[in-house]
Amino acid sequence: MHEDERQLLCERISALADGQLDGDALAHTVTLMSVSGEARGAWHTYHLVGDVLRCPDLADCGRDQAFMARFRERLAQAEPPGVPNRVVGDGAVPVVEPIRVRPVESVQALVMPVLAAQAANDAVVRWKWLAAAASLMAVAVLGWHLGTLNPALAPVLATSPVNQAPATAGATIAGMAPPVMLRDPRLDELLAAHRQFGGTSALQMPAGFLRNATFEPVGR
Amino acid sequence: MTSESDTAEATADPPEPDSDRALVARTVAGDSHAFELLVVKYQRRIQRLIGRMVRDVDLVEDIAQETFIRAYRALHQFRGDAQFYTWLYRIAVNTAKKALMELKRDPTVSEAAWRTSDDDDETSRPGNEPIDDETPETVLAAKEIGAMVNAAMEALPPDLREALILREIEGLTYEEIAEAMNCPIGTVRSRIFRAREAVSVRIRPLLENQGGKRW
Repeated sequence: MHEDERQLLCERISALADGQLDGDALAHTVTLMSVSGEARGAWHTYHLVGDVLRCPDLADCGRDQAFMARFRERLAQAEPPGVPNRVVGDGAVPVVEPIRVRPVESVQALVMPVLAAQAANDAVVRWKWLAAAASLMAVAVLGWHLGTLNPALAPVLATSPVNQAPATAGATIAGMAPPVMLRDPRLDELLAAHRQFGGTSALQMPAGFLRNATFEPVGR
Repeated sequence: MTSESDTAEATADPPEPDSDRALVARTVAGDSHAFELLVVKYQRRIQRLIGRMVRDVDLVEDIAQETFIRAYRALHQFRGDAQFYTWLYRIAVNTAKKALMELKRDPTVSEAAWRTSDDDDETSRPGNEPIDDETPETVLAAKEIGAMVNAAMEALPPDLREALILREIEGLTYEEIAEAMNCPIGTVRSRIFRAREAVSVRIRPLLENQGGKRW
């Protein structure tokens, strides 16, 4: 694992330790820790640091690995949570179907999609705020300009859906102003790949009050 | 058998409901690896708790193992209205009490194995007898780790040290730390990670000396 990948993984592990990870990131990180001893070591060490800061008595960790090795053997034999005691008479079967944790071929196979998703999400998160601010400014400028040209449009512009996100974008960025297509190659690739955004006009901004030719990806 | 300080300890941990609940939910959904992470997180505290009730280190570990297995099997019953550790703490105490009752009934088990520290007095214990599994080597190793953690904390840049202290000792959430330090939550996340990593780098050689092959 490259150092950059390791750093990103460890940062996620640190976030997980503080309850700051959820969804796919959580799932990927937990899966990675199941196959990577180094990742498990980071989880252990981060918690050891916290324990020692709070209580120096907890610095005695010499038997931790042996304890976990024994525990894993016992855990493999244990009934999963919620499985009722097996009743021999009526042949009852467990009611809880375990989820399938996908087989792991290698840490590398897991790390790259995780890092790509992280980078993509980070880019989208950063650009979301910038896009929101830019879209507000753009609509304000456009509204001022059009209002200057045709005052009759002013009331329409005043009630234009400044904060109304396109349905497609709103589905994925709830509560946020629609994104603006800024000239960022990474963002362009992300949008094209995921096809999450649509209905943008040739003006490259939401302009529902104007009739424009819009690009509608196939299937939408 | 448990003191007020034990009860206080059970409720005084840094509030981490989201972290534990997410891992609990994954465990209930079938991912046992998620539960292993919880065990790694709490094994020292649970063993320390049980060690106050049971003297023999092997028994302490056995009871701790049983505690976690019981918690695993009953995890679907964890309602989440209390901290996960509080729930785990109660299982540990009950498991230890049950084990002690069985031990006391077993005539082949030495009384020294289950006698608690409350029963100690100066006449009942030889002067230099270790209380539990402490040996000079383990005591020294633990002190070295503690000293290295403190030294590493002192060597941290102030913003990293403050972020880690606010999180680990004061138990603030990322949002609260961001407000206290007047910085974005992403910066808080980064500072805490960098602080942890810097301290971990200093203590990892000591851990490897202890345990040999790492996780």
